[in-house]
Amino acid sequence: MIGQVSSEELGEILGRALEEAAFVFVEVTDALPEESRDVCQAQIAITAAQSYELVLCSSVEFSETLAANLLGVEPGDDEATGKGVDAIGEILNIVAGIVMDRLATGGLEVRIGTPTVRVMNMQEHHKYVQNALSRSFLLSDDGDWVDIAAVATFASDR
Amino acid sequence: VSYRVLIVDDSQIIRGAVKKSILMSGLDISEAAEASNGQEALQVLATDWVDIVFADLNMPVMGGIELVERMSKDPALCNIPVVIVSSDQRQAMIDEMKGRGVKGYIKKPFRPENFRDVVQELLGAQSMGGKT
Repeated sequence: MIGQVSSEELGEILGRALEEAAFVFVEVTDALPEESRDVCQAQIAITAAQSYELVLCSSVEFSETLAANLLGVEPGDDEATGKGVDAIGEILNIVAGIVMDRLATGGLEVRIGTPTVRVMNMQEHHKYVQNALSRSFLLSDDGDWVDIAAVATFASDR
Repeated sequence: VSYRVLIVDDSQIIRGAVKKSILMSGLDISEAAEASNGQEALQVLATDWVDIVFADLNMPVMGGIELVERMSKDPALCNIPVVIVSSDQRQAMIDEMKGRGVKGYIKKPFRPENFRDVVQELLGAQSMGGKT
C-alpha cells in the first residue's frame, strides 16, 4: 500500500521529478513557511491494496515558474502565463508514475487516476492533508516551497 | 525530408513541452498538429496526413491504447506509428503496450533526444543538428 512510500521517499521522488522535468533543485526542509497566500493543490488517486491520494501543493507563483520551466521559457513569458495549474498537475502525474512503479515492483497491482488541481488558501490545504500517512516539505534554491503528501481517501474532514 | 507529427495529450502544457522538445531535437518537422484526446486525434487524422503520433496513455474521452487499436483497424491509418508518452514507468505495462501495437515508448520526464531517437528508429529520420 501507499503507506510503504515513506515521507523520505516522497520527498526524494518529488525532488527528482522537479529536477528532471522542470530544472528546479530542492532540498527537504522541516516545515512550510508561514504565509496566507493562495496555493495550487493537485490530487491524484492511487488504488493499490487500498485507495489513497497523492497531494501536491505549491504557491500559485511557483506553479507559474514550473509552467515556464516545463515549456522551456522564461518565467513571466506569455506562453506560460496561466498554466501553473496545469504544471502542478503534470508534476504530480510524474511523481505518481514513479510511486506506482515502486509499488508495482513490490508485487501490488496498482492503478492511478488523472490529476485534478484546485486553487485554495493555505489553511484549506493544511486541513486537507492534516491526517497524511506520509508528507514531505521541500524548498528550492530561490526559497520556493512544495508540499507533498499521501492521504488515505477515507480520512475525515473533507 | 521533413515530417508531420501529431501530439495527443489532454494537458496543454505537455503538448507544448513535447512540441518544444521535438523542435529542439534537431528533427526536421514541417508541422506539429495537436489533439487533446484520442477522439480528437482521429478527427485530425481523417483530414491530415501525419508521419508519426505521440500520444499520452490516460486521457479523458479516449486514451492512447484505444487510439492505437482504432488506428490499427483503419487501412488508411494502420501504418502510422504511435509512440506513447507517459509517466507510467512500469516495464510490464510498456511490454504489454508494445504487444498491442504501440511502436515506441517515451517516459515522462522526457528529453529532446528521446524524441530524436525514437523517430530515427521508426522513420529513419536524420537530425538537423539541433540542440539536445
